[in-house]
Amino acid sequence: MNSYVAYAWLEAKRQWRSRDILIFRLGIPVAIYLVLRSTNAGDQDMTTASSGLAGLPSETARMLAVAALASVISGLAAGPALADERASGWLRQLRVTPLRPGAAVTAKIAVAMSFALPAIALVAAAAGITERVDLGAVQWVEVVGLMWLATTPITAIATLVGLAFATEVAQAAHTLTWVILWLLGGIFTPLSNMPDAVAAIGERLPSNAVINVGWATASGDPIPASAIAVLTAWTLGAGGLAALAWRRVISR
Amino acid sequence: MRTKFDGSRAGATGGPVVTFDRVTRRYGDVTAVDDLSLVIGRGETVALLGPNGAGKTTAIEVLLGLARPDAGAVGLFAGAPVDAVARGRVGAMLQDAGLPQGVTVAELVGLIRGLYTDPLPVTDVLRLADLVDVADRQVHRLSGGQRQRVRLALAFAGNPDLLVLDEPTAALDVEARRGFWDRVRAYVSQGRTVLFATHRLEEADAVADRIVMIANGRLVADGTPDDVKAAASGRSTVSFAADGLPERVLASLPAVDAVEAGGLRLTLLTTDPDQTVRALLQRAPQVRDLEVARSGMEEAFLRLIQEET
Repeated sequence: MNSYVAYAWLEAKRQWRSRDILIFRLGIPVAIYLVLRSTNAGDQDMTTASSGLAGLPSETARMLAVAALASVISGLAAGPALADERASGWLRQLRVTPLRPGAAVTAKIAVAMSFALPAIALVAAAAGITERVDLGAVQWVEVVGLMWLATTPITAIATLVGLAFATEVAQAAHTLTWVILWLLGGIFTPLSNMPDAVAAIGERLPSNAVINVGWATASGDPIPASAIAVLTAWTLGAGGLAALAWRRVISR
Repeated sequence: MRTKFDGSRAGATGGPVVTFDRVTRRYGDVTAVDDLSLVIGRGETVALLGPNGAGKTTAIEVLLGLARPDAGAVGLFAGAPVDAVARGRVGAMLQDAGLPQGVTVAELVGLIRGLYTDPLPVTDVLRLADLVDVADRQVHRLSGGQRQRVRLALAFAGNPDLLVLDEPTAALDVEARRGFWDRVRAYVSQGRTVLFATHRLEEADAVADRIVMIANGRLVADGTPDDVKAAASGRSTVSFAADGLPERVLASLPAVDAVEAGGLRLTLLTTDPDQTVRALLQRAPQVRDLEVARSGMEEAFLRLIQEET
């Protein structure tokens, strides 16, 4: 436990100090929101999505979609940097200290999550300030908090990508994961508009669970059990594999 | 030839710290470590000496649990390497291990201290590694020598019983190297154990009290630096100035192989200089300017490797 705290604390300080990381993980999502809002781009899709699923107004639907995008962007962001860290030999050095693989991976996930919360909250704040998003005070907190919690498996996937692949491959794997989670996750295009085979994949992706959590919370509906199952499975699966990959951090 | 010496050593009390029991590790067709057996006791400073590619790094990886042996068994503090590492008994400095971006020296030392249950006080770590002046500097802004000192600091910040150092001075100049070993000595003076890999003969000779020499993954010699050199060279020279000593008398001294006269000095070639000098001083107390020399490490090394291969 002590070693987990020590590692998470150092990683948090290190990553929060980097201006590049702050811009990418916190700045980009809110910038995307403001661009979409000012051009009204995607309004058509938003309305379709919400009317088909929860009957949400387009302003709310747009905010939820970009919040889900923020979850994917900030959640996945740490992957390539982790691959670099592995290539540098630093993780090998950590491997010969008492830091346990499970604690190390949990710390990496926790620090990634520390960026996901403000990334999602900033999008929500931008929407709340610039548009009429009709949510109660408690609902605001629920939307941000629950979409944030739903980001956990995405940070676990990023950790796995960073540990399982060499630097160049990790960059490609990161991009591929990003595209899959974004496009197939039904964030902008609802799964009901996709071919059945694609939709069958999409509904098992954590990004789809994130947007479902957002829709349900904003509509005042209970969170679907299927979303919780998807999130739990990805968290345990990717997190467990990442811990195994950390154990195997041998090659340079 | 396999030169082996009695494994029991002065200062080696309690159970062994390190045991290699017929360990073999292959990478594809290459046998990096070949049937290596070795016991290291508490308090020893052991050099793992060998040319590049001899299998030193692989042996250390197996010892630290970073690689599994294909055959044989490795013990660290009477348990599996991974367990000894998890219990914080070991501090290691790996070859070319990177350091993370965006942290200060003090923060990094703080991390390692936080990973061990009984670390050294932070001021001791910084002082021992000569990092007090750069404690608040970002690690990636340090010079090569400073970074190397940071790596050393990380190896002993947790106050481990065993230090494992893989080619720790490879990137350092002569002066930095001397300072480095002074720091290691200061750390290990209280009964701690050190195993370091080096391809530098004079370093093994100067720093270690025991040398384990490997070539092509195999043990070729194991003993004190003097033992190893004697075994390899077989001879030392004893030279002195003396008048009127018949060569016949000198040649009959114990362990003497040959007598050479050159100018005013006489030189004896001996397989056991201690015995020869003792007898010489008894028979001829008038000898002056006595000099005893070993043939150098370099020769010893090359000779053992040639005999092995």
